[in-house]
Amino acid sequence: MLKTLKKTFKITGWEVMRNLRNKQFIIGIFLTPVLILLFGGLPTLLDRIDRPEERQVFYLNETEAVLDLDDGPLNELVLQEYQGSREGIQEAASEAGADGYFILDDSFFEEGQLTLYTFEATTASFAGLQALLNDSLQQYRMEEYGLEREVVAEVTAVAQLQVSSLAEDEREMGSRVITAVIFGGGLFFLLITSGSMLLYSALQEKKDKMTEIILSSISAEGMMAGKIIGHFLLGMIQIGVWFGIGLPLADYFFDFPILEAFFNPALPLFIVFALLGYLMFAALFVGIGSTMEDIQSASNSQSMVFMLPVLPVLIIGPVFSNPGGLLATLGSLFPLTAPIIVIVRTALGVIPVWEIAISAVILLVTTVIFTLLAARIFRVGMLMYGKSASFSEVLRWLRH
Amino acid sequence: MDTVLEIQDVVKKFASTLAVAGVSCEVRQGEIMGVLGPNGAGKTSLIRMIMDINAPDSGSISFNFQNGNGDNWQESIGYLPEERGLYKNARVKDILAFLGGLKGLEKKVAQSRGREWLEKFGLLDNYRDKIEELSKGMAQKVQFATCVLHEPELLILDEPFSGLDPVSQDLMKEEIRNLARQGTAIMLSSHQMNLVEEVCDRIFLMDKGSQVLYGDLEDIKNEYGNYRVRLTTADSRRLESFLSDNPRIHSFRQNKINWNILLENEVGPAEFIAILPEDLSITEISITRISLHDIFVRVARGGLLDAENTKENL
Repeated sequence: MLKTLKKTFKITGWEVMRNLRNKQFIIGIFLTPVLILLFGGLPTLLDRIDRPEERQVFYLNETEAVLDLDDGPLNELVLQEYQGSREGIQEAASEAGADGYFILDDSFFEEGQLTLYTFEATTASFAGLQALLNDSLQQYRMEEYGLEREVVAEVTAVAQLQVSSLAEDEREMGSRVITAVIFGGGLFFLLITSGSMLLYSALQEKKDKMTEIILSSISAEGMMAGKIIGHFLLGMIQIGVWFGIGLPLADYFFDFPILEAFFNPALPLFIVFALLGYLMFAALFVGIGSTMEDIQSASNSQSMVFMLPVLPVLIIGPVFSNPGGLLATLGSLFPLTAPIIVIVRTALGVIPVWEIAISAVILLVTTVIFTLLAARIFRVGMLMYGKSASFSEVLRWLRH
Repeated sequence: MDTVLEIQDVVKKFASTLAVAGVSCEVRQGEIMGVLGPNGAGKTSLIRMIMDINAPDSGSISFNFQNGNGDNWQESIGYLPEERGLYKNARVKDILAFLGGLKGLEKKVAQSRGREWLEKFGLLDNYRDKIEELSKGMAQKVQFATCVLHEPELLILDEPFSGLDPVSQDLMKEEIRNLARQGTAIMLSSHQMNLVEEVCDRIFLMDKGSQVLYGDLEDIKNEYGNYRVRLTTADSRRLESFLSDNPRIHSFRQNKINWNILLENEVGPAEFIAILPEDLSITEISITRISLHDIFVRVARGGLLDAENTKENL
C-alpha cells in the first residue's frame, strides 16, 4: 500500500516537474493574468494613448444668447468666437487653420437646426458641441414658456433608492460577495485550466506511447490518481500565482476587504467542496480523455463533457439575484453545479445547513462513482491506439 | 533451473474474439524463452495479462521471485512493450530517474545504472539530450535501458528487434544473451522467427490464441526440421527420375537447372548424399535445416511442408 502510494506520488511529481520545466506552462501562468488585464484595460489604455487631436471651430453669434463654454464636455473641441461679419468668417477660420465654422442666428432658436461647415470631410464626433447647443436651445425655450432652469432641474430629478441592511453593514456584505467571487471563481478557473491540462496529459501519454511502460510499474488507478493529484497541484500553483499577484493589487486599488475573504470561517467547507468538485471533474476529464485519439477526433459527446464546468456560470446570475430561490437550491443539489453554487451561497450566507449536508453527500457519492468508472475506462482507453473509442465501446468497457 | 513465471490454462476473450485460448507455459531462471507467432497470434494479449494490464478470464499466472511476490512484484519485472515510446520533450537522464524510481530505485542509482547501459549502447554522450533529439533506434536503446536498470528477475520483451537496423539488432541480441547468462529469466516475443531462433533456448509457438509448439528449440528442430537441398545440375532428366517416387524425398521443385528438394523428416544430409546417383553431374549443392518459420507453417497451417511454398529468408 505504502509502495503504491509512493509510486502514485512519483507520477504526481513527474507531472508537476515536467510542466514546471515547460516554458509554455510558465509563460501561461504569467501571461494569462497579463492578458486578462490587457483586454480589460486595453480600451481605456488605448483611449489615453490615442487621444484625438484638438479641433478648433470658429463661430459667429448673431443672437443675444450666451454659449456657456464651461458647461458640458466639449472634449477636444475649442470654440473660437469670431467678431467680424458673416461674409468674413470662412476666410478667417481657414486662415487660422480651424477645422470649421458655424453661424448662430435666430433661425436656430426657431427651427432648432444649425449647420457646421468643415473644411475637410470628417468622421469626428461633435457630441459635445451638440450638447452645448441643445442646452442653449432648451434654456431659450424654457424662458419662452416662462420657466426657470432651476425649476425644470428640480422637477426632472431622478428618484434614488438606497438599500441599508439592519443585520450587517455594507462592508460586511461586500466582504461576503468578494469571498463568493474569489472562491467560486477560483474553483471555476481551477476546473477549466486543470481539466484541459489533464485531458492533454492523457492524450500526450497515449501519443508518446508511455502508458504500458508506466502500467508495468503501477496500477491504472494509481497512474490516474497520480495524474489527477499532479494537475490539481499545478492548478493550485497557477491560481496561487494569479491570486498572489492580483489580490494584493486589488486590495490596494479597491476599497474591498479582499484579503479578509481568506479568513472566512467557512473556509474549510469551501476547501471540501472545491476538492470534491475538482476530483469529480478530473475523473470525468481523464476518463473521457483516455477514450480519445487526439483532440481533433473528439466526438460531439466527448466535447460536450468538457463544457460541463461552465454549467454553474449559466445559473450564477439568478443565484446571485436570489440566493435562497428554487434554482439556487437545485443548483446546490445537482452534483455538476453544486461545488461552485454551494460555495457562492455559503459565502453569501444564504444556504441552510441541511442543503449543505445533502449536497456534500450527493457530491461525494457522485465523485466516488465517477472515479471508479473513470478508472475502468482509463485502464482500457489508454491502451487503445489509432482511433477514438465510440460510445458503445466505452459502455462495453464499463460493463466488463 | 528455477521456474520464475508459470502460466496455467490462461484464457482471454475480447468481445467475440478469443485472443488467448487456454495456454500454459513457464519461463525459467537464466533462459531465453521465445513466444513466437504471426501478428494476431495472441502474444501481446498474453504478455499484457502477465503484466496485469489485462486480467485473464480464467487460468492463473504466478511468479516465483527471490525478492518476494508481494505488493512490489512489478519491481522484479522489466517490460519492453510492443507499443513503445518515450516522453519526447523529456531528457534521457530524467526518464531514467523517473522510470527507475517507479521500479523502486533511488534517483542516483537509477541514473548511475542508466549511464552504464548508455555506455554499452554508445549513447553516453546523449545522457542530457531530449528524447526528440535522438534517432528512433537510439530512443529504443534508451527504452531498453529503462526496463533493465532495476536488474529485474524476469524480463519481458515484446518485439524487441522491430525498428532496429541489423547492427543494432546484433548488439541487442548480445545484451539479451548476457542478461540471461547473469540469471535473468527472459521472455521474448516476436513475429521475426529467424531473429528469435538465434537467441532462444526454448520456444512457445502460438497461432490464433492457441499453443502450436512448445519446448526446447533444438528438440523441436530435430522433430520437425526437415532438411532442404538446393542443387544445381545440367542433368535434369537424370535427377528427376531419381527424385520421382523416392520414399526419402518429401517434395521437389525445379527452376531451369536449379532444384529445391525437401527431404523426408528422418532423412539427414549424409544419407541423402549417399543415395545420390554416382553419375549425376552436380555443379553446386547446399543442405540446410528448414527455418523456424517453415516449421511454424508446417505445423500451424496444417499438412506437411510443401517446398514450393516455403519462404527462404524470413
